[in-house]
Amino acid sequence: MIEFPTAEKLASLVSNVTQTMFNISFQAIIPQESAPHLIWRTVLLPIPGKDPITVGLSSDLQGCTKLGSAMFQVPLESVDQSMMDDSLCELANMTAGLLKSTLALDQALGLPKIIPNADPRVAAATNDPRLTLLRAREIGLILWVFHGAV
Amino acid sequence: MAAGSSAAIVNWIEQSILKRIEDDTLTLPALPSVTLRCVEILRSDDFSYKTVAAALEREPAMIARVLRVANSAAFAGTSKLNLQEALTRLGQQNLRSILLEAAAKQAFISKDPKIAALARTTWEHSLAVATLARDLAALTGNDNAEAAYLGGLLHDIGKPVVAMTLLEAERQIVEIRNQKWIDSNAWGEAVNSVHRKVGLAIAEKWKLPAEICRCIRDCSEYDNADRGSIVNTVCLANAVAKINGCAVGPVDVDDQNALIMIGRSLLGISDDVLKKIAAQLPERVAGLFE
Amino acid sequence: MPRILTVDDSRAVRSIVRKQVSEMGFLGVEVAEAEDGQQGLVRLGEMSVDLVLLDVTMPVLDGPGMLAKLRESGYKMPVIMLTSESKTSIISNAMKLGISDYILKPFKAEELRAKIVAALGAKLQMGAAPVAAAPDPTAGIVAPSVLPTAPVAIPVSHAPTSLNVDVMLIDDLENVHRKLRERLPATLVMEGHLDAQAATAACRGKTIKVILIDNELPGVEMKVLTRQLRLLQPGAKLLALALPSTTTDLAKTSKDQGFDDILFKPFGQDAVDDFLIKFFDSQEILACTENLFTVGPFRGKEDRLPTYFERLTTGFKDSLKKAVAACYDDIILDMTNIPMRQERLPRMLLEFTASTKEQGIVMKLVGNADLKKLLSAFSETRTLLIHGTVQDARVARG
Repeated sequence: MIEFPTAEKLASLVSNVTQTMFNISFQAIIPQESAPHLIWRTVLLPIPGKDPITVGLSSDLQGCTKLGSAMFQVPLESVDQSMMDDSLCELANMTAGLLKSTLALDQALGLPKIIPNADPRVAAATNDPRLTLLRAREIGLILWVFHGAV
Repeated sequence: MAAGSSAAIVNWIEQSILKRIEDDTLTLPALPSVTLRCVEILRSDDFSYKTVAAALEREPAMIARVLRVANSAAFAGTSKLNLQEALTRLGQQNLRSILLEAAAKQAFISKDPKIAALARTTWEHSLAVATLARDLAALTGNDNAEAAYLGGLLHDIGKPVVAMTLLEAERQIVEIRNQKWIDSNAWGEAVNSVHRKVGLAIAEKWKLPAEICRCIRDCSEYDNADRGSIVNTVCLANAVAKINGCAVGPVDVDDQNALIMIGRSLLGISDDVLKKIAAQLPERVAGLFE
Repeated sequence: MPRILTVDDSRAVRSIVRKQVSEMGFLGVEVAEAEDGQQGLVRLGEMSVDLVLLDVTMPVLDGPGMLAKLRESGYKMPVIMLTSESKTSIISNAMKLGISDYILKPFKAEELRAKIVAALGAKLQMGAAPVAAAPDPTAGIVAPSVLPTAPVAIPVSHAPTSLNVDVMLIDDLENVHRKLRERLPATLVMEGHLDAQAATAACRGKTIKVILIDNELPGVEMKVLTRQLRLLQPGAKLLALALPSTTTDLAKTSKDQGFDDILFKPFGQDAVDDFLIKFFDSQEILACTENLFTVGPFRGKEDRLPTYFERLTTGFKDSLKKAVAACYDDIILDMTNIPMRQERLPRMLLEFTASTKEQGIVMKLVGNADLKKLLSAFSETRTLLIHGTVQDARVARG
């Protein structure tokens, strides 16, 4: 079974995207804190194939708004719901691309999908050891990386 | 020969080589003790060229090589240099490359006609990759172009060792056991499947830096999260060398072109610049074996 | 009017592309959008498109699927893959279907700009000055000074101090930098580096006229360095800085190493002035645009003035021949910048007047009050008419 990178390395993958696109860097919060409030909006992206894995991101209203503002290059007040969803999906997509390369996985990326909070996967997620808590300025993110495709 | 038996032999060879690496019983090329000592001196933060010169004293052939390179047109100044001046002129990085290049080349020299030509072509391919990687590193702002050169030079160091091991296996199977041997495709497959692991074992024995080990292990695919890294530079150089006629065995042109296109985006090199870097590559490396 | 179609399921990416294209400063470039391959094909049927920016992973119809269909339908426009996907087999198949380039996400604006310029080429027309991204020290792409005509994508790894450098010096001895700076005119931009790596890094994103390199720079294989510098600075002259030698054929060695010329150490003011004349004065002593001859200022020490006037005289003769060949009735000689030297200037002007008369061409002079004063002191030049501006000279009757 593939071994996933450390929390620091995962933070550097997310930062690789955010630094390139809008100059924000994330740090992994170690030891892991419980941050259920960040599971306000969640996207999951499967990488199906021989060694299926899933990459996901969650954030709260503040994080999603700031990400949307940075990604769309618009003021915070102009960010709507669909822009938040879209930004989270695109960040997951680019992060998954980098993770796939780091793990030398010769598998194609799947499509990112917003998961409703009522979904059992989300409900069971609090304190899940497969999650990595990331922070940058006032943005909190939870990165999901686990074996198996959703 | 039936495909099944060929595959079984290839599998047996691979397993046996991996086992021998694990048991530390595989015969790997040794780094001459003088080279090893010099490389160790050069690695230390407070090294002096005087110490390197003293270590080289026991190896007149290496002294001659250092003097020849330092006084060659590539490095030449206005006067003939003595050993210590030559070492200073070459600098830490070039010196390390020259010493390791001389040692590595020995691994690619074979008296056996069956693998001599292949080893020579592999060495020329490695030189092409090294030259390209050094240029790419310098042009993309990587501050360690010499490591890119060494990474390119040593990325296939395991291949001649695997080839030698296969030759021994062939003698055992054909001459002693009187069984059929594998065809050239299966032979190439066996080399490709284990040479990186053998190369890494050599790198460990030679105490090569981590970035060179990474080139040996990972240079057939990019790390997108580490755009301008030495390993990505060597990976792009490897594909460019293959497409420009410096390859060993058959080349999957489509795959290599895709690698070049991805590498151009990762390293930020235009096609135009890449073509200039690769101009007359086979001519530039031909004859360097001698 | 060129049109770019961006096909991506991410609205954010489509929005970034739209914004960056608008900031490129090209006239009338339109950006159309589609959120999947199916919609992309519909757009292609509705409008003419000059370039497609295509994602790989999309719902309904993915990038490779749309690419196959558009090629089947006979569309031949360039397609650039803009994707997080780097699976070799996917890119290889897309290349077989004729993608012209590939951009890996996450991407920087500079890479997108360079690849759009390369793909659309002559279809692009510059409008207002593009919103130039400041050179980014964190591995951006592209030398901004070469856009849009020569989109050479080279990463920037060093924030440049100036985008136009007259002389770059690479020498590990700091005193050489001090001496050269002292001897170069203050008007020339000089940039110095103590090692080759710093110099190659600093070369990106700049235009450098002359690069001087110590040919005994430790740890540098000169042939490799000169080849790399030529790729980074194709227009620059490369000069070896060398000590004279009785044992080595320096001319041959430096040529083998890839140099254009040699400047010998230790260089005195004379040597530096000769170097300036050779590499900087040819265009500046006398610049010619059609029938306007503009005299450049004198830079250097006083004792080099005779050389300046000699070169000006030669330059004038050559330029006059060209003006005659181009059938001009008159020429304008703008001497606003000429050094005021009463022992040289009047005699030289009389020579110029005689030469133009011989060719049947009228010479109109432009100069400042000092020039008028100087020429009025001599009976031979007192009657020469001096115009205050080039515009005045143009409208004046011969």
